Amino acid sequence: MSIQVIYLMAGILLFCLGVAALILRKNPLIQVVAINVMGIGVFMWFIANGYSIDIIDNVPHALVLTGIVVAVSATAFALLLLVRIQTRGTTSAGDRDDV
Amino acid sequence: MMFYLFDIIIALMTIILACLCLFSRQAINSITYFIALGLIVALIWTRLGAYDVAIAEAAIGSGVTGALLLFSWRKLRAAKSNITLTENTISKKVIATAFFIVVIIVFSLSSILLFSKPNSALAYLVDSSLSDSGVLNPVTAVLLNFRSFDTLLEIGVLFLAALGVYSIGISLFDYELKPSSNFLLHSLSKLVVPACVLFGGYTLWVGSYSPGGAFQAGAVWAGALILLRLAHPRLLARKLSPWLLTIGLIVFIAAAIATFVINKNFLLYPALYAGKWILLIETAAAISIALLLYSLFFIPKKINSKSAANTITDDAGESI
Repeated sequence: MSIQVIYLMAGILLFCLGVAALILRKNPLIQVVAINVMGIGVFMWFIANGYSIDIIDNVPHALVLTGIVVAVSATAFALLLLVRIQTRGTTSAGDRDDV
Repeated sequence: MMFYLFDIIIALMTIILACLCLFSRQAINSITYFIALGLIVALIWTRLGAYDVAIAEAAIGSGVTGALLLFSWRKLRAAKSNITLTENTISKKVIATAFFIVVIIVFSLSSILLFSKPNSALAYLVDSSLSDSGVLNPVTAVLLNFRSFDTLLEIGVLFLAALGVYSIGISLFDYELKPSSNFLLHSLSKLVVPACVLFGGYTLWVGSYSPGGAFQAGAVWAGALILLRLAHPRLLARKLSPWLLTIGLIVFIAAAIATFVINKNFLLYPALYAGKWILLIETAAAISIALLLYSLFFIPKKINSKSAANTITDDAGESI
């Protein structure tokens, strides 16, 4: 038992919670949040895996840094698409999917 | 056991915040809990010795993502007249079942993990060749020397996301040139923006020997730009220079070609000047990361174009 195990478990739990919310929730904004929470779970697993008392593995840190930037890029694109879909419905008064 | 108490409390807090974030009814509550979750997670990264990641998580993972979510929430709320963003309550049975499954997965996986030792061969490899990398911070060494291709492509991904945002053609923040009359925003920007600029530069500079680097610096600068734009819209209302937006990518690719000419190998820096090459690439990268992150929020358009919707097709192509 070390602090590594606590965070490994927390990471997996976060990922699973994210998946559950992604399936259960209908609000697209919260689904984007859920994907981000899944990402945090993966990052936590990575960094906890690189942690040990004697030497800290820095390669997962670099990977997670890359991952955070890629995640924010994907989130921004997803949110813009979402806003675009929703505002399109109001500008052209036609048929609209209720999301 | 007392030693682990802090970690157990923090891990529990993370899980509770995640539950609150994912299963609260209102989207605005979700977003608020998500920002709090990001800050707690940043605390966990420092606990696990990942200081570089902690800065990036607080600035990008919690700050920029949170701001993006808040902006789009506002935009969605303004846009919807009859779109319901709060759905019917999920039946408690579904939640209970899903949670049960999740708990099973966690305990099965963690029981496997308890008997496996992490492989730290890469850690020793990084440690032994750190002196050849030109920097003393192992994370910067991995990011900009050992695995510099990843970082090059990462800036490429950010650039692609910005391009995607441009091609969608709407801005998350409504285009208004009237200076904000919010007293709090004005005094906050006076205090925080200079501190952000200073801290970003400091992070960039110390990135070679202690936690910090281009991404953290870029994120902090982007935060300063966003705050400045909110408080003084007229100050930043002009088009962003496409050269500044792409300078990180350009310098990185130029460095790759130059190193290929010198050493017959992409991004293999000359051994004596590796530190200087890295600092040059990092500075250029930080500038364009800041501007790219900022441009995810505000599409730079001509000053007098009022309505975003009408000029999408005209401006999207030429504005970058």
